[in-house]
Amino acid sequence: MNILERKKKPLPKLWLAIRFPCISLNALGLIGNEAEPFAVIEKHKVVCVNDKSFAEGARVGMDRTTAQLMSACECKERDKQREADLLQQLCACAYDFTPYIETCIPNQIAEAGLLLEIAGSLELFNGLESITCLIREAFDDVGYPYELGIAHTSKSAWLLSFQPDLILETQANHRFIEQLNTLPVQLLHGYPKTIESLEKTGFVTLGDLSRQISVQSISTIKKRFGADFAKELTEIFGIDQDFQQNSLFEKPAEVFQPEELFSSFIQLEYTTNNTEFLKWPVEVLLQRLTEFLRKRQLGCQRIEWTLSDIHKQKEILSVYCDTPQSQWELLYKLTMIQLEGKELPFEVDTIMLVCPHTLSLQVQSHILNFSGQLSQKNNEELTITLAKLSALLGERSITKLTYRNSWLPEEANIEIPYHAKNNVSIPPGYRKFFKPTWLLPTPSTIEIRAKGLYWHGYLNLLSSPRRIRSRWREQPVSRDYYLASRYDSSRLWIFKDNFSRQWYVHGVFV
Amino acid sequence: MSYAHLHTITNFTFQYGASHPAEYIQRAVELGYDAIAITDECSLAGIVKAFVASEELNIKLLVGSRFTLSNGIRLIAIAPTRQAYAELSGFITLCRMRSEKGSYEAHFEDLRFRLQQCLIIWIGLNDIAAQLKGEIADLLCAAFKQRLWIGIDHQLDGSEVDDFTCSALTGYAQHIPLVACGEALMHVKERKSLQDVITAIREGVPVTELGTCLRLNAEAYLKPVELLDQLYPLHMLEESSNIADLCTFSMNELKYQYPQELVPDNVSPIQHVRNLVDEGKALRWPGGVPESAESILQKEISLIEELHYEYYFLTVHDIVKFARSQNILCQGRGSAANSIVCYCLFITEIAPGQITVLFERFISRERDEPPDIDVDFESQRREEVIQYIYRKYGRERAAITATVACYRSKSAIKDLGKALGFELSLLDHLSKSISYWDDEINLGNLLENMGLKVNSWIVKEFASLFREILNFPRHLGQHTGGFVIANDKLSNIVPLENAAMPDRTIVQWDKEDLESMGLLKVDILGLGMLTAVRKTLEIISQYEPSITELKDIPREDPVTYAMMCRADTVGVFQIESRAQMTMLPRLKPRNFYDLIVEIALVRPGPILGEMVHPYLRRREGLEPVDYPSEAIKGVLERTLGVPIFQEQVMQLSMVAAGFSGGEADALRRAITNWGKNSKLLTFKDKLIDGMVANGYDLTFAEQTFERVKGFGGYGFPESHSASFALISYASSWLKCHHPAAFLCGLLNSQPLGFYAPAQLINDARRRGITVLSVDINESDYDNKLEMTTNSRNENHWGVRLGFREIKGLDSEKAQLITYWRGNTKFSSIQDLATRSQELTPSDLQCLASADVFKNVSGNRHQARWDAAAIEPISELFDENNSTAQQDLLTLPPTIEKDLMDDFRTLGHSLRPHVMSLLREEKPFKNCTPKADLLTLRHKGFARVAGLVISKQRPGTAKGTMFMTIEDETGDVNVVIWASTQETFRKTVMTAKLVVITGTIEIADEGSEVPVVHVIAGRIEDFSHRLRELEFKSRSFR
Repeated sequence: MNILERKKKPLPKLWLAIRFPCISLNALGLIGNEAEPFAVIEKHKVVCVNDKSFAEGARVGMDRTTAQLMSACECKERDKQREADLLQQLCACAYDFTPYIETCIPNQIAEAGLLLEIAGSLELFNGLESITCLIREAFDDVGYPYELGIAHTSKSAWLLSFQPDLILETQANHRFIEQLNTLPVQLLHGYPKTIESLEKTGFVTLGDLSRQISVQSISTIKKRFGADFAKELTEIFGIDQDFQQNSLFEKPAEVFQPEELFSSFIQLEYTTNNTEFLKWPVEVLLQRLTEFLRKRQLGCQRIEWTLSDIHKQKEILSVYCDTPQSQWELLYKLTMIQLEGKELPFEVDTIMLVCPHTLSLQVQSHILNFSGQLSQKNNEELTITLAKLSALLGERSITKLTYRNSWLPEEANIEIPYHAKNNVSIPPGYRKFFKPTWLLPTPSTIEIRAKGLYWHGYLNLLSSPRRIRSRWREQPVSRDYYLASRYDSSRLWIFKDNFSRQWYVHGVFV
Repeated sequence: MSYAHLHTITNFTFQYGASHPAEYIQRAVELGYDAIAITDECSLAGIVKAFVASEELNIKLLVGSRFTLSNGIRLIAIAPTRQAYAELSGFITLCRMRSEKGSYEAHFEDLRFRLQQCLIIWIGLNDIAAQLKGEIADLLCAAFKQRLWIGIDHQLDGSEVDDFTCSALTGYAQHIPLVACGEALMHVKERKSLQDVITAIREGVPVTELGTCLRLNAEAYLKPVELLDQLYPLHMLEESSNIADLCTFSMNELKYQYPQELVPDNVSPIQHVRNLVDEGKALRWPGGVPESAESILQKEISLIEELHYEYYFLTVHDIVKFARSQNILCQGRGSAANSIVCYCLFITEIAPGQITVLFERFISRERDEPPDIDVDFESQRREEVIQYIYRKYGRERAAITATVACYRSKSAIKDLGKALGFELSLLDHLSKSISYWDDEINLGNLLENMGLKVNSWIVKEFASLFREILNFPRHLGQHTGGFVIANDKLSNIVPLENAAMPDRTIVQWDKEDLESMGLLKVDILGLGMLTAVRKTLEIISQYEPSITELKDIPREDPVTYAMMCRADTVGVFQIESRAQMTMLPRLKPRNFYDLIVEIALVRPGPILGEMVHPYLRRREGLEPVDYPSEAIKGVLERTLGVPIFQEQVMQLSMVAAGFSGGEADALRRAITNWGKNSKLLTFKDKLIDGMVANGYDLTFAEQTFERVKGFGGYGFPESHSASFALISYASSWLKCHHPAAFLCGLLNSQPLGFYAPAQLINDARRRGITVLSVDINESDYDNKLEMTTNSRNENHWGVRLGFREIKGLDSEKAQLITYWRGNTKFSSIQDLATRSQELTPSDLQCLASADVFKNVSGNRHQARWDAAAIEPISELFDENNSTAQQDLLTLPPTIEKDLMDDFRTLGHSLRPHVMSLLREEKPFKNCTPKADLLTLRHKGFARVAGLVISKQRPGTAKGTMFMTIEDETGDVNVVIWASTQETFRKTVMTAKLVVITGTIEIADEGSEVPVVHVIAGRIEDFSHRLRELEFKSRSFR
């Protein structure tokens, strides 16, 4: 065959499946070989266990209680989004070997994998054995457990990954089919009811099915177990039915598109640890980012600066913004606030800007601000002020208060990080009753003198008691709250502890 | 100062109130209240319990209910008179009936016109918008005039002053008096935690997350009067007392009227009873009534007339007459068998000579409570009787008794644990760790065993709340068959509401409430064995026409009794349990009375009273039978000097201690309730003094009292035992003489009895009955008899299993298969599909899985393959559009797989027993089969293996469990001591296939068949081998 003929005739496809049996664990930051037992659960059922848990008797499919009784494992809720994100990262790793990558995320089992069409890469990587070896090395480095399967169709490669011992360094279809024939029908996870029917009819392995198909036809299977299942079989075995002419209508292999992210750097012509000299490169890089975002109608809320010296020492700065930005000015101000408050430990040689996550500007909605209380300008000022405070005091120092549903005053407010979302609904029980503007962090003891209650002056009770009683804490609480006045006309919120009989001031009305 | 509490929510306002009605009454008495109103939310469900307590503690009870109207107005209605009570009950019925179970719907318009006598207290005034208050006050004033108050509820929430000012202004403007009306959700404030927990249960949120949904404080309780004095002005407290004074109604006024239409015109009710009894007498004793029976009969009729129970007997008679007219087998049970009137009215079947009739057990003048007649009907046809009652009396006059579903250990742990935010898995485990036999569980130990710190406050709280919530009512359910029938509208007496079951209404009171209020209740019970007996008789009559009814069964058949003595009683009514089967060879019943004793003897009362062994020893002549007096001899002679029945205890007190019939019955009731709230000890002196006065030795008198006490709540009435014995005997005779028909009858009446169909079939096969598998061309829907030939080439009746045995098969279609088959057998699955036109592919698969096509299609695999190819029939297609058979290339199923598939699809198998397949494998080959157990040495080592078919842990056995396991040769009885159960708890609770190592005990005690037990020492779970068996069948190629 000459080169011309070879170009005309498409190469027979060869698929390599990389199955990650513990992806639900991996997505949660676990490998599978931890010293402590772990299990991933979904709807109270175990979907994945680590080695330790498995050794102690926990199994996939058990209910959570049984698994915990068997292995005292810590159960973690499955996170499908993180699994999908992880799979995308793994795709990027496989992208080194072929652009034709598909992901396989079955619904019925908590596993996932990549399907790589590698026929076109064989020559480049010196044959099947060599590319397999390189792929193994690459995924060994990633560190998550995986199994490989190689076959002439993507689905059969996936199935053969369940029998990793059978991996062949061959490209002959009939050998793949021989291997497939030995697999149990239970591996057809997508068809649980059909599997049950197959077993009741005596079909134990895929070989039983292929024998029936070869002696009679796929239509006998189609008639009994449905068109979808029959189609699945044709796709597994690569049966090219004449009437279908699969090769004519074949779907082109999917080409993997790595995620687009902004990353740009400037190597300085001089090294410096003076932030003044960094203003210019910061501005330039942010303008590049603005250009990138503008062209794509995107915005961003977080950017990452990496400052490095010639010895590869690094300093990373993250800059956050409340609202998505598509212009550089605010990001510049926020960056400079951080840089000004920082002493650089080395002479900076290179400055790099990365914007890992972007948001579409189309989908953003704006709250109509009729009151004008918090104008955009105010908002920007507040953001800058908070950024300054964060830079000076650290992020954790900036917090805000929100409601919590509790009768106990000290439990009715909670401090949360400034960036966290407030509870805007006032609990119904609060509406009816007065509350002081200022609640003392710790109630202050009131003296009992001959003339009455005394706290920087004598107090007069102005209201009937409001009794609060709760046993749902280690130390039960029973208090009678009153509104009280002092000689200076100030209004105080005081209570009597019904257990200790002691009086306290708990709040002040301003 | 006088005060009446007017706003009390009990735990019958489910998931709101945190105290029992009786607790409120008790507390109100302690606090010196003048009166207390029970005002549950649109309900009178707790009122009778409060009433009973108020009668005992002598406090005035006001009957009321709280409502939230659809427009948001909240009010309390209190019934001052009988007529007002009827209004209130009717109003609650209306609100409940128009809504789904557990909810209600009340509108102001209803209230205005339907509550024309009730006193109304308007509460929750301050929850209403200020601008609406005046308008609503106008409306209420116009509707209720002088019967309206504004209720002031001070709960120390800080808004008392504002609320009071607002209410006072509204009241002043409209001339509505104010009254102290503090809401009570608990009788003491210490119940606040429980109140919080039930709020959490109601909201489905852990208590720690409920926040302000919880009550602010624990002020909703019954407060001391001194405290009330500080909270409310004096005039408001006195007004509460004034309201109480206006209420003259007492629950005592509720007079129940029996349905009266059953008496013909111009005949008095008692005359009608006499006429019916005379008709019955003639049929019962064609040769004339024995003198002794006649005198009792007249005494009974006089008492019935005196106590006005004529209508009750006539009502039950009418229902029974209907059932008989429809050929529905029925029979009265329980104390009614003590009545010759019931015997003459064909309500019961026990003739006076068969037992010693004690009418006082049934009706007593002193007790003045309506008699309790329980009638068993064939379970499968009971609905016909129920519908007859609805037809005859209408839904306004007939309703089903309620049952109050209460918290038991498991439900308490589950709900309480969730409310306290415990891990679900922990609760699940805890709940699984509690067995049905753990009546009083040691929660602390269980929690500690699970690794929880029992000293932590939340665990302590859990344990203490657990004790409080036990027996707390959760919701109203439907009684199994108790009907209340009234002459007029039932809702004038008790509110009705919808049951969960469509078209069923229940009254808001349970059995005890009805009894307390003297309401007629007829128990229309379902008894599966009556269905089985009728079906068996129908089958027998096909080949032996002389036997069609129960009366055709010969009495006192020695062969039947011989079968009982061999304990060959699987499937027989009442004497089939493990304990009964152990007793049968020892007691050796030879006549009907022996059978009555047998049934009553294996009961907790005689066992705990230690009466079993003395009776058996005396029966075998190992112990002398002596009586302290002739009078006592007259009472105990029939049970060889040992008191076994409740009636004997009553008679003893009458003849030895001079009790009247009514007093004797009161003693019997005290015995029954002993340990709960019994007054048994109040009878002690009277009994002992009476006996001593009659010349009995003091020691003997004290011994007698101790024995009586030993009966506890478990004594069995002779009349009840006799009624059961009738059915036991009938079913035994049928099993003995017509075993195939009996098996058919049993299988066609499932579910019933102690044994699953698999065990019934195995038992029949061991008796030589041929059982034939379900076959598409031979079977009918029901199991039926089929003439077969045995190994000796003799014809005999075998049993052909029917389509009803197939799990998951639509019963309507299954019944039509015979019709579709007609006289032409189906030639293929396609033929069946074509001729039936209604069977779906899934129905066909179901049939194929049950292996019914083996004579048509071949093995199960091929049948399923063929069935799967059948497409839904369409009229557009040609009828002859059949699918050509395509061979299946898979291997036929192995015997193991067939066996497992049989169990999966039918629940039993006619193939070799699982144990015979495993027998040659370790460890089963080292186990002794049941058939060879007698070859072992008494008290020697034994190892047995089998499928667990039953477990029993009677309360009388001091924690011992009786497990029955089945192997290929029979059933092995295993005894598991409490300590062994503890060691092997998980295995005992969950294992399906076990190997038990222990010692064997063989007791022959002169019996024909020795009683063999294995005392378990070690119990090993081999259930996984059942799965392996299945797996093996898969990989067997």
